[in-house]
Amino acid sequence: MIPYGVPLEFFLITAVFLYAVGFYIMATKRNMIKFIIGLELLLDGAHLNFITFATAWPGFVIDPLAQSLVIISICIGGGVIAVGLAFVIRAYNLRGTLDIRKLNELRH
Amino acid sequence: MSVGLTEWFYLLPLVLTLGGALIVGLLGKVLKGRRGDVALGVVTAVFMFLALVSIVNLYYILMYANWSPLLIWYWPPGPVFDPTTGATCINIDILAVYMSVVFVFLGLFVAIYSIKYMEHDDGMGLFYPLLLTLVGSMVGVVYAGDFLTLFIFWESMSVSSYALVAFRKEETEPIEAGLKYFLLSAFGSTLILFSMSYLYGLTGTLNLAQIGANLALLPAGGAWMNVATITIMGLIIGFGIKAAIAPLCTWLPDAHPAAPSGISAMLSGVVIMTGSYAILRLFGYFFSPTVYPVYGYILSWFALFTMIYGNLMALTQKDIKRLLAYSTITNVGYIIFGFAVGMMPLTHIDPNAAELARYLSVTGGLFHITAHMLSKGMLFLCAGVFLHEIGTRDLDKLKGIGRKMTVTMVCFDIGALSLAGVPPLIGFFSKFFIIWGSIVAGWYLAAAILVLSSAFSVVYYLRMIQILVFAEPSPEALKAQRASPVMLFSIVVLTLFIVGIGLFPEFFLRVAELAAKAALGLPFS
Repeated sequence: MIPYGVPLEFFLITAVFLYAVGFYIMATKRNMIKFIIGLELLLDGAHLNFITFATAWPGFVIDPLAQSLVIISICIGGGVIAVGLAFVIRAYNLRGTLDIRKLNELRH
Repeated sequence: MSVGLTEWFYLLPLVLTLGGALIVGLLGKVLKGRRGDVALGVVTAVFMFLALVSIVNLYYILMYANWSPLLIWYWPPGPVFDPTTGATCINIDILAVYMSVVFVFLGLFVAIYSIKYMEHDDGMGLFYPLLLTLVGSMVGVVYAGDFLTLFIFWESMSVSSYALVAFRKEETEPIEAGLKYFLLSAFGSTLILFSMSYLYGLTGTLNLAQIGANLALLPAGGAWMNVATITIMGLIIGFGIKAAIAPLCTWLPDAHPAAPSGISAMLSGVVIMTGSYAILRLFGYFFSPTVYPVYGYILSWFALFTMIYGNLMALTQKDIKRLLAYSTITNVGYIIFGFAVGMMPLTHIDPNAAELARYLSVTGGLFHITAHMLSKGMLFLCAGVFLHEIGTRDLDKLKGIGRKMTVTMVCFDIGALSLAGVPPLIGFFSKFFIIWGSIVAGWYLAAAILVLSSAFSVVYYLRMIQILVFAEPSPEALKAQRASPVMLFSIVVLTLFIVGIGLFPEFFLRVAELAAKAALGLPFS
């Protein structure tokens, strides 16, 4: 089944690529805003996977449930990112830096 | 069945907690000042109590239904549905009831405790709705019968716990701890979502039971097994971050001490248990030990490592809440170990013995969730009383405080001894069952490590008691007053349950045993 002439693997590999980029950002970057961007990319990789698999049904049937999950998950993701940004703003106001490695008051 | 009046009755625990959050949130706009805060706390406690009653009611409904789960299909609507295209449902079985009683029970006492403990804080109109949302979402997580429902409640639980950890947003420590918790935990959530998308691709459904059934239909040994392996790893890591399995638990010793003490008790006692629950439930549904033999062993080695790590780190701590947080990691090790034995194929022993070993250790793990909820929740509440009275968590400054606060200290001692595994208390029985299970499974080395780890943990529990009671009182400790009766009420009731269930464990063990059978798919006899 090749919907609209593009093979399924293309989308799946893109999803893995998005997830890998997000993971790379979260593993290496020091800026907290970039962390949040990485988190958003991780979510997008998973969403793309769901959308792709939702179309992979025999007879061009598209599963509405996976699409509902993605829409709900985008909304939830917005909420999660908002909470994360609130944390970043508070941390910036309190410590005057966006560098995650300077937040080391907790290391006893 | 679609959602009719009877189904709303089954959903009462969810409706009362989440609807209660809405009502308390609206009331918080009207009721201001100290009196308003007290009123909000009382309303919250009433909602928690009603939810607790409705869950106990569900227990009896299930008992008359012969323990067959109550399924509520809510989307697509109507009585006609096709599970293979992914119907969403609420699945209330005895395991869900068991877990939700644990959640709401601690929520009730934390709500009562917070009325006094949070007296100097602003924004209580947000605190109580968040607490109710946290408890309600956890109930939703255990009631979920499909991945859509699970994910919605999982994220709502996570978001409310981030906000509650950083509730005192003017201080640096809660913000840093909250940020650390947020980053790791949100990463874990995306990993769960990503892994689940592969499971969805393999099976074409989001319904948890249906995913398991469709996976069993796939040919054994095909290329899809590799995808399934990645999926299992992703799920274990994703839920393991929330459950605080050892290499993934770095957020826990920061987040638990930084939160307000009531929330520390919630996080440590119940929120991290949703991770353990999810691992148990998903393996029970999806990955039968005969097809995936190694994951039980991998998970159990991680559990043993978790125990040892928590014990070693707890030894050197100077901060009382940080010490308790590390001992939480140790206890997560026991619980995950109990569940891991339930996932092992155990082909080298007699099949009947293997079944016995599986459900004994899962029973022990589930019972240890209750034991840990009561004991560790109570210990965090006691630590909160000390913090409230003299404003420090430093063990050196808390020296001898037990002489000024007798009742709190007696309760603290009972909780610490219960977690150390002293016989007439609840913690003894749960550990005993986990160890018994591993002995029946023929894994004597693990049983020895469990016993040694338990004995090792006595060292720091006794050190804590020694510092708090027998050391010469420090100048700060001498200033301590008696704890207020509101806070003492929660602590004393939890202590009574520790002693009471320890003396009469039969009923609770029976329910834990039924829950273990539901998790493993064994017939109820």
